[in-house]
Amino acid sequence: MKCDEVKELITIFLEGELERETHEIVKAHIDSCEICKALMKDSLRIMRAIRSIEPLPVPEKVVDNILDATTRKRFSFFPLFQPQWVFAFSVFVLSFFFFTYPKKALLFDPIEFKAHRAYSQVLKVVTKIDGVVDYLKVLKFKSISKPKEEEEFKREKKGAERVSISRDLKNLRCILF
Amino acid sequence: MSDLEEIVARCLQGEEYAWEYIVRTFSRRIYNMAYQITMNPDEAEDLTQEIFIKLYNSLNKYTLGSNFKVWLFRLAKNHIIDWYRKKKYVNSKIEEMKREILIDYHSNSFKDTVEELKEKVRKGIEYLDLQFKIPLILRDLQGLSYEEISKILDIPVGTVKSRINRGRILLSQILRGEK
Repeated sequence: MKCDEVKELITIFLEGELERETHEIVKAHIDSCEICKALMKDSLRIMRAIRSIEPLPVPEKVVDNILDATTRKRFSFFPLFQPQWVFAFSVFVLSFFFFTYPKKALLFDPIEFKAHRAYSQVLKVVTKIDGVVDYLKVLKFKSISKPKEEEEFKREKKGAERVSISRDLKNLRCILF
Repeated sequence: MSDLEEIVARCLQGEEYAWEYIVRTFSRRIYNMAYQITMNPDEAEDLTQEIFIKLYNSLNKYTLGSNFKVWLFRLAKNHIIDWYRKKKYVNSKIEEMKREILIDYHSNSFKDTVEELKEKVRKGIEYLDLQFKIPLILRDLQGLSYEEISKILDIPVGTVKSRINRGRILLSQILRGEK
């Protein structure tokens, strides 16, 4: 093995991380080479110096900042209810309706017309609600009274049959007598 | 499942104490790694915070059972390299530091105490190229195994060994004033 090759492995050799066979070859070379022996001593000194550097303590404010930015301050909806956001949202909604409203001319009608239109709209809505309420009442009545109705219907049907039979018999008697 | 993996699992379930444990356990190592690369305490603080916030936001991408330490260091390494590239690290600062080391070395080379040598080594690491510096820091200052470093840097173990060895020799040459 040449000195350049040993140089490429010297600190790994010092750590004992080489394969056994390679380790023995490097060791044999170092024993017989003064230059590589000096290199080994120098490398050992540097390695010891690097490894003796103590880690610095992390400033507590760094840990606090990390925790503040992650767990302690979670997303909240509260900032959305701040006045500036509420105002911005209102402006957005109103302008949206204004610019997308198809009958813009109606917006500039006299107030009486607007009141009349609003009243008729309210009436329409009330009428629709009444319609829905009636429909619901009917549905409810049907769901509750359906079995009774059927029974009554059957009873009535039987009664009607009986009546019709008795009427037939009467007619027959009249015909015969 | 190891203890650390269990803590990570708890953290994924949203337990704040688990997250705080991770921050307190690894912040020192990440801070030191950042400091060794930047040699600037303010930059190291900022980078540590950024790395942990990034970690918090991407923790759900971590697959339980794979090595969390390796995953964290890889994330840190990528972030620091990005920072390094964006910053286009100031060469003049390195040159200045190199001159300082050489003056120190030649004036006091045989009288170095252990503390002085440590300080010079600390400054000397700064002068190393990033491809030697990061593996050297991970190995000698963070105490990671060659296999872990190989996974973090995504290069073969042989390459890791070679870079670390070369880094140490370069450092030795820098301190001797040969580079």
